[in-house]
Amino acid sequence: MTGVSPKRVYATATAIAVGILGFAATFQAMRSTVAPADGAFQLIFAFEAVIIGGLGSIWGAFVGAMVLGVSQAIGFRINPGMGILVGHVVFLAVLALRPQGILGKKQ
Amino acid sequence: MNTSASKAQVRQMTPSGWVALIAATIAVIAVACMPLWASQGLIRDVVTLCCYIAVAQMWNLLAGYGGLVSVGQQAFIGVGAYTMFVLAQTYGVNPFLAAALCIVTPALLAVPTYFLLHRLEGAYFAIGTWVVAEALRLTATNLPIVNSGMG
Repeated sequence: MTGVSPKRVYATATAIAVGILGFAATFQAMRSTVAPADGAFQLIFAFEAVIIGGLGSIWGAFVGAMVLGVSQAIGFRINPGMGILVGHVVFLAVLALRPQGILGKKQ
Repeated sequence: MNTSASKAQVRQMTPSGWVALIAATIAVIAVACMPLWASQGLIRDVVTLCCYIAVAQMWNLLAGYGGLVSVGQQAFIGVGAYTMFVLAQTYGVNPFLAAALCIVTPALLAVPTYFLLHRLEGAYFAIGTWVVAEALRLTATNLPIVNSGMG
């Protein structure tokens, strides 16, 4: 592509990203209480979902979030203390077996 | 080898080197015999300081020299600390012996961690180390032998 202003593209991408974050914040506040230190806990799930699905793929992030959420739900059914751990194990398994993610392209 | 590198000299035993050597020797001796002259609170603070210096240097070597931005090194610190407490408290090993033995479990843990993470780079590596640390933290909170993370 030529004639694309990188400054403008970066600015637009950042604006869309932060705008989507606003939706996430609204949904989070609707389902639970919020505190200033909640960020890291949500951030690790976001990272995991993106890498499970495939970095740089919108549908990948969606699929990754589904995989992560369903694994955590299954984990919680098995043992209430294990749900999030099962999510992490699934993430590490994806990282070990398919590092480019489910929908990611092979480099 | 190019010319600029061959012109580089290594100077040893410079005046500043001597000052640093003497100061460091005095500091090491002073810290080693702290129980003879310092209060319990001061010893505790110095131990905390040494802990932070060790962790900071570890991270400096990893990220500064090695270029590996890891946000999961606390996992190894935690595993080492738990090993010492479990050995000393649950199995009655001499605490000083336990302190020396507690380097074994983080070293063993490093082997599978290496095989999982050695292919990753950049953001993948950082997030991978973070998740490994989180997984170990959650494992600790589910293990009865460490009182399920309640101390």
